[in-house]
Amino acid sequence: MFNLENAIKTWKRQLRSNPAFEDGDVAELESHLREEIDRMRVKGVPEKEAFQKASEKIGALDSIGDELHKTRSPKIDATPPWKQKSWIPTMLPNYLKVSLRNFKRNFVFSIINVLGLSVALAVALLVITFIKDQASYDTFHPNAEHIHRVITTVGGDNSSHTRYASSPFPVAFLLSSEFPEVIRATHIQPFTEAASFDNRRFILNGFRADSSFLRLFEFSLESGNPENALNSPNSIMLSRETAERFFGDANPVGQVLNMQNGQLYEVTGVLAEEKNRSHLEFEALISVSQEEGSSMMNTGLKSWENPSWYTYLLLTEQANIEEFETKLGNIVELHYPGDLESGYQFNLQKLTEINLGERLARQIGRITPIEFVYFLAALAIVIVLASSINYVNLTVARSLKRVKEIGLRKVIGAARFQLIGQFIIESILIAVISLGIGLLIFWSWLLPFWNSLQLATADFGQIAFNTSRDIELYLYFLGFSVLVGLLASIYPAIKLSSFSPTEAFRNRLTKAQSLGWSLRKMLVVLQITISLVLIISTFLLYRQSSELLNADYGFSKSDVVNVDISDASYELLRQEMANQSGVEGISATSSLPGVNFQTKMWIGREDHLDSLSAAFYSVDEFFNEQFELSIIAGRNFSSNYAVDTLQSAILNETAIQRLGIDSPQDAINTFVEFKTTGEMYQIVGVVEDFQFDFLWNPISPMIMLNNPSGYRFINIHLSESNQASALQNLENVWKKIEPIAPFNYRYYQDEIDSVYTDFRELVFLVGFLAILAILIACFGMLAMSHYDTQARIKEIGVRKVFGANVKDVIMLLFSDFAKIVALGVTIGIPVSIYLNSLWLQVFVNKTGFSIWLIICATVLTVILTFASIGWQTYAAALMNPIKSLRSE
Amino acid sequence: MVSKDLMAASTRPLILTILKRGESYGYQIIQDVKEMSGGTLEWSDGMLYPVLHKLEKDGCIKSRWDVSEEGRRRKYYSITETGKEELATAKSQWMSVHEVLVKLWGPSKQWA
Repeated sequence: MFNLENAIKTWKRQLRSNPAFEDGDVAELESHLREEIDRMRVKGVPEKEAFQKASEKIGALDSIGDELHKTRSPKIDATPPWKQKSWIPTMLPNYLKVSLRNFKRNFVFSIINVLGLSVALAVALLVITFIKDQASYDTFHPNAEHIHRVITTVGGDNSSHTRYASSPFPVAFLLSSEFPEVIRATHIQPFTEAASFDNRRFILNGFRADSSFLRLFEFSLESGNPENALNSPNSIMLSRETAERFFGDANPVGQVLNMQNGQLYEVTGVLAEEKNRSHLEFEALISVSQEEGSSMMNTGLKSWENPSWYTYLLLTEQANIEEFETKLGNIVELHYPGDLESGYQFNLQKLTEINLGERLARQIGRITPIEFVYFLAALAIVIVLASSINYVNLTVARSLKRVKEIGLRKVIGAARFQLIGQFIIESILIAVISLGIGLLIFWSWLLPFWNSLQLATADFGQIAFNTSRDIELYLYFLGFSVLVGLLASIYPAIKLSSFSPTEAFRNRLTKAQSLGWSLRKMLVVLQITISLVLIISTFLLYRQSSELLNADYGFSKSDVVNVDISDASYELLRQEMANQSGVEGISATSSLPGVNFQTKMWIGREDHLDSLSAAFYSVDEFFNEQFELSIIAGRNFSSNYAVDTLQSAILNETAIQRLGIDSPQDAINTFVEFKTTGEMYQIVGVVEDFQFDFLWNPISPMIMLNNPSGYRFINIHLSESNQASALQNLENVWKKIEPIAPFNYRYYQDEIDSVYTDFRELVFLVGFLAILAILIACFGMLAMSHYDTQARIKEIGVRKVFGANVKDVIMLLFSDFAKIVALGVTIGIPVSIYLNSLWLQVFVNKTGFSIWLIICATVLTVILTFASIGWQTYAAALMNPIKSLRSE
Repeated sequence: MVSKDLMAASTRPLILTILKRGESYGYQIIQDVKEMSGGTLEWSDGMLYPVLHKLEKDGCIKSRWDVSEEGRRRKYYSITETGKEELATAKSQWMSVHEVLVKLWGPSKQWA
């Protein structure tokens, strides 16, 4: 017998079985059904038939359900979740949620993890951007790959040989005429000269260059023809900026500049503002015409003894560099016959490897010493390594706590590959987020910071951004962070996903604990090693720098100001200024000891073949007195001897020794010869050695002449008080004598300080990076100890129940770490001695390792390590066993 | 019979128009549509409800539960201001389509 109520109940059950229908929907549809049935019943349709027809009219419940779901789902093409077949996209939100919860639960450690990696990646980005920036020098010349510079080694195989960036004048001529591989050769020589036009007068820095220069290098010209602009004698080409200084907006081409030596030079072209970077930086190019070149060959410059020009070659693509260098060896035999002692040797240096290359003597233009780059790169690698280790360590440790989550997921139906995928996705995600933060740190803070350092701006130029170059770089970094994420997670992912759920739930963590413990031990050892190496290096660097900065120059420089003489007459200035109140002494020199690069000259004893390179100063007779240099033999220059300005010389002690003269007294009245020109000077005095070169160079031979035409700086010794008014008076005097050039004075100490600003910043930078790396390592150890003590918390509880006291527990936990620390220290000490000796050998007055230094550093490392792990250990030891054992 | 696509497109304005006359419930709405179209517009009754729920979610109509004189629970729907606006828009759109079709199918019949 048909029962309507039962039929409706069955129908409703069918509705409810579909999750799309909520209670309200069911009620609404039931009301509809009953209405329809009632209507039909009124018409006389029997109950059973009415029910069937009414339910038919309502339609397929399944498709109504789908429609209802669509109206409720926020997605446009929503598929009901119970119809979903694909598992991974469904679980992804859950993975993210769980990752986030995990992150929150271990907030401090997660932040250490992420920030450590971010900071490390930011530092690495900076270093790589810097290196790429530096390596981009000179790459803009189309033939850059085939351009080489001829460099000269003097002194042969013995350890005191010197490698010069320069080469003798005739090399370019010879190579271009006799070597088929050479398509083109050019040679240049730097000059610094004053040039004037109307009443404008500036010091120009540039090169003398032959006509091949612009055809070999592709510096872009604003006006002028690269083929012939430097062909005729007395031609000059100016940079855009220099041309504007002289001529303003007027067309510079065809104008005539008056040079210091009285010669007139015609402007034949203007170089466009160079957007590309080259190690050659110049304001002007002065022509060396073919005739001039040939006539120079017939003067002293024909000499092969004096590497004072810079020779660049464009070789054919087929040229074999090794063969070429062998052929260069043949030249040596030809041009230095029998002169095996001085041992000349020529080599090629690639143009693109000049800027980021070897430190050579007589460097032209700017270079970034490759050692500095190695140093930065090593630090960056260490920092990235330290934080990557932390990352791996913490990821492994953290995943150990998730054994139960894994068990649960497995029970619900997760496949193993899904679990592995989950761990890897999570880890990569965090690594990529770290990279994001790292980029933020790099752009918003690190790069501006770098560009604000004098070291960076003055020596290397601001790091310029090159989008296409750097995009590639960022892709590398993305790849790197994904790799770190992958490496950190792949091991725990595979291991942990292998547990069976029963094991996981029964709290059998022993297997989980043992896993990764040896790996982590090794990584912690590495962290300690790194910390120790960095601490020792920072100590050494600090000691080396303070040794440098507090070095005794051997001459007195307090209260001395220096003024660039410019075109003014020194005699006149001296006469007027010496009478001013507050002036205690005045002298003149060609360059400032300890500040400027000096000119080098090849000198030798009369009738002796061997020569040596000596720093060359032109000073007046007051110089030695002014700087409190003592004459240890002979006499000072003096106006009483008329010959002094022409043919007297004073040498330093080192020069006397190197020349092979037994004692300073023996040198007096002997003669030295300038080997390049053949000029002879009589030694009238010997000055005590003082540090005129940069502090990392040893005191080398020097020679002083009393040649007034060489004076470039006037040194004014002021009395201690009222220096401001004295300087004011001096400026007035200056303006009377030299109306054009400004009175630019600088204190000697300031000049010296500015030379070492770079070095101080370098020390600061290295120290900063080292502290960063140590900090990252310490945080890593802190986090590690936290996880390890947590993993042993029950063991500790059991031990305490059986009567162990706090001290016993601490000893137990520490002894484990002590072994690791001992191993780290044992590896760290020899490594740091080796690494630091690499850079220390550059310095002359090098600071050494001492037992105390190593002991101090070791103690510091141990203290840092135990401080990092100490409080975790202590907290674990104090813990009440009731709490830790409650669940057993 | 009207095609499924056209039915789908016209359902919303149809329901809104009916509700504009006054509050109504699902069964009654279907009866009204049938009556007015003389049976040319017909869709399976159950499919009305998802549309009503969607309209409610979009804010075009609102609903309340009530009990009829016969003691049956019914869900009554009424139009909102948003619904009236949508109806006005739909109306002008339908009319413009209608006008174009009428013109095209007009006396010359050349396009038909």
